[in-house]
Amino acid sequence: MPSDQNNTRFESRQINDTLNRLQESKTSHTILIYPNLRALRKVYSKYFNIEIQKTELS
Amino acid sequence: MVTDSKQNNFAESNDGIKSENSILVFDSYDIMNNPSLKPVNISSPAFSGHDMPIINFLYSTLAHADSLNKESVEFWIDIGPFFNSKLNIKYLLQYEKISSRILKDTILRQYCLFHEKDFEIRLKEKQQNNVLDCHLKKIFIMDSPQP
Repeated sequence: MPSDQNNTRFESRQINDTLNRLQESKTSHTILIYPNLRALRKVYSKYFNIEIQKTELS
Repeated sequence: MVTDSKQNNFAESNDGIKSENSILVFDSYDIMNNPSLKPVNISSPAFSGHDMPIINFLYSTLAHADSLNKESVEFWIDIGPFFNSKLNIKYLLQYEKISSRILKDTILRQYCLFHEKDFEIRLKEKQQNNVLDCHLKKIFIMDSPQP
């Protein structure tokens, strides 16, 4: 998690919840901060409904 | 935008999507550093007054979507190449500001993907705030431990 004392700058969301928020929202400009490539791979896989092999994002 | 290595994977697993040209996958680094992406010659003030290949790419993508009668475009951009090339943080901040203007006037929705460490370590606090101020929604993705 971003180490700022001020974590209120972000919504902290589990991956599934993140995807729900993105699909519900029509916000035009969103920043997504990910902790590791595994999380990023999960987001891509679930959002685009595709399989991404581990090696492809490592 | 994602890496080249993923391109084949997208294509193989999404034949329907591929045939509609609905997903375009490019290497962010190549686009950001591609001088052959010439400045666009259009009247929209949102696109003018810059020399950033990636903005030209945005415009090209929108034009492509328009040719396919798409009603919206989602632009997923990995910010990592801004930190790993001749580009710099000033360039990143400029891009975020310009793209915010563009997003107001188009069917584009943009998702900027930052690795936590890039955001924390490479950006000073003021720069972090400047980046955040450009975004309407800010999400930190929490990863659950592997089973």
